[in-house]
Amino acid sequence: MGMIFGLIFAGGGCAFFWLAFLQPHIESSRADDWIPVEATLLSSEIEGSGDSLVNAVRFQYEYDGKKYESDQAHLVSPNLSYAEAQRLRDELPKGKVVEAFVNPDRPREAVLFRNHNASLFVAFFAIPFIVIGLSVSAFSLFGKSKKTRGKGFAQPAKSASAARRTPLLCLIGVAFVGMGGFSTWQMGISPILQSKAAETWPEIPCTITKSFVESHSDSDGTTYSVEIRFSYEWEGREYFGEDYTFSDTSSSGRASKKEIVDRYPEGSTATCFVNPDAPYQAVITRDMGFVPYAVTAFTSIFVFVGIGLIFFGLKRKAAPGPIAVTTDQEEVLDGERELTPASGRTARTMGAIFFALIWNAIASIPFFIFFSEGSKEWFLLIIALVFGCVGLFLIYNAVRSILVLRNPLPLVMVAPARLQPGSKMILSWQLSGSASRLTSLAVYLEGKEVARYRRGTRTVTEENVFFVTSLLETTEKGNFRNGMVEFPIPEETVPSMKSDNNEIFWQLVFVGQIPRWPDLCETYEVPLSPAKS
Amino acid sequence: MPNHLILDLPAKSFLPGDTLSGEIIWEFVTPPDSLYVSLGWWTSGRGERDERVVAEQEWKSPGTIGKESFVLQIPESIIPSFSGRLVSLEWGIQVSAKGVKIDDVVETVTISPTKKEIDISAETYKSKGKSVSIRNARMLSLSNRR
Repeated sequence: MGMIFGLIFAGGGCAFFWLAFLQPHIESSRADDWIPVEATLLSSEIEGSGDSLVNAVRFQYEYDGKKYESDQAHLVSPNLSYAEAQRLRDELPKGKVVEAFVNPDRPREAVLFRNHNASLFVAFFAIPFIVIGLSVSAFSLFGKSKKTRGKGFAQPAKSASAARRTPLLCLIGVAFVGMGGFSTWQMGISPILQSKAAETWPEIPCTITKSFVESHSDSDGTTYSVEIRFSYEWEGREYFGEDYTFSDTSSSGRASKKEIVDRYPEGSTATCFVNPDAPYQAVITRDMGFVPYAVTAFTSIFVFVGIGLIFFGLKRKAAPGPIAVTTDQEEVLDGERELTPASGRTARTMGAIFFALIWNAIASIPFFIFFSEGSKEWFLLIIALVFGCVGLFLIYNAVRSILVLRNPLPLVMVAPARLQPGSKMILSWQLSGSASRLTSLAVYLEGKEVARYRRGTRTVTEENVFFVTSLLETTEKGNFRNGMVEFPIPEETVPSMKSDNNEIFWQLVFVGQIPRWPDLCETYEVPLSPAKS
Repeated sequence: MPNHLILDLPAKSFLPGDTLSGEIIWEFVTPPDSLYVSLGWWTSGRGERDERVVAEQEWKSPGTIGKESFVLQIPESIIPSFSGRLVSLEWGIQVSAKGVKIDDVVETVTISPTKKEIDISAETYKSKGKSVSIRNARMLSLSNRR
């Protein structure tokens, strides 16, 4: 089943790669050996208006002593925007001498541009699908021997890598960064920068040639966009524009778009902003609203997730087994060791704030659409309310994390530095900060076993606490600020262990009650080394 | 005549740091490329399987019939044989023959400071670390086992 799924996945990726990249390249490669010659432009015009603009270019060239004419500017018909078509007209005026490429087998065939429609982005997007699909298939075919083996080893020690990276994770990360970065740039940052650059563009009159609300329907529902075409004149030459705003996105809520379209009826006169350096670029309004900013916030999440995946993919995984739990203090039997909290408070708080901000920024979008754009889609409101409730919880969690920053923090020391089953552990602590706010304090030692396994495409982690003992439980205020307890670690127990999918770890848990404030709860991992006979 | 591969271990319980000795006896129809004996551990239980070989010995072109003794050093600092609710770890010796069609021979051994498998599966508790409030923590006293 996994193999079939993987092959379908890889097949889809290969199809994308072929159609978007290889096939266009192969088609355009037929012109690689065409002969470059000088050509003179006989005419260069724009044809059409309203729905589309087409370049009409005619040029004359000489090959093998004979003169020919051609009206094929591109090897493959491109889908040019209004601005691109007009830029070509402006940059290729009548009479200009340019380079053309002649088919030596059929000299009547010549072009100015040996272009292709290959999309590097789609090809880039397809590669992870191919690799992931093939990896899933390969794992289904060859990965079972190890998984189902009851006893013994699948590989001898020689071939077992001591430490390794996860290239597949890197590849998925690159895909996330690529897609997220492209979307962030295309729908967020680029329109914002264009809008800023257009602040100095002059405002001139224009005539509306077409004005309508366009519907875009797919399985997720229908979205709408404002479509306004207009003509304007710059330095005696007529131009056509198709951009109402720099933000080329569509959203739900037809009423707000209809309202804009009604303000610009066909045949009416309005004003537009024209780029004086490239007059084929024009826009009716420079105002874009909040959408590009919201899109930037949303798509940036994919970029950050991708960077995280690349980071974890490049990080060497420690070799499984006892080596993973030995420390630089392995040989130091005496002395004491300072323990650090399992997770830093500041990092926890920053994470909670960041997550709450991102979530609520995204969750506010459906609310905004519903209330400001006159959408009457009640399903949208229900979704918005669900997301909003989660957002409120995340705000509560972020505020709570900020309050926890003021809690006293235990500075924890254990002796001996090399703890092992059978050791007598001496634990000492000192509370920094306002320890007087605590009304009780308890300290526990816990042993946990952790197992990770795959269920479908998910990795499930299960934990079980196999050992707990109370080292201290007190409500006497004098015992809070600092203290010391001794505890003999059982002889017949398991030391800390970390392998790819299984783990044993020991931790100290400090729990303290603070009236009308989030309680103190900090954990400190205690490395328990293997006992030496 | 079928292939035969026998692993003979005089003892099956060891302390960390001990030497583990044994014998392998074989009889094959065609000579194998090599014989290989390895000492290591593997996990079982709820999680995906992990494994590691810590010591090994190899004999190249050993002939069709033969007997070899081996001595493997058990590292001093090891995770002992144990059994838990989610994770268990077993130690074992595996003999493999390359170049002939025969299954590997695997014998489990117990390695621990007491020469017995450590059982951590008897009891289970709720974590104190997850109870962010001391009010809950008080309720989850040691007697509060699942």
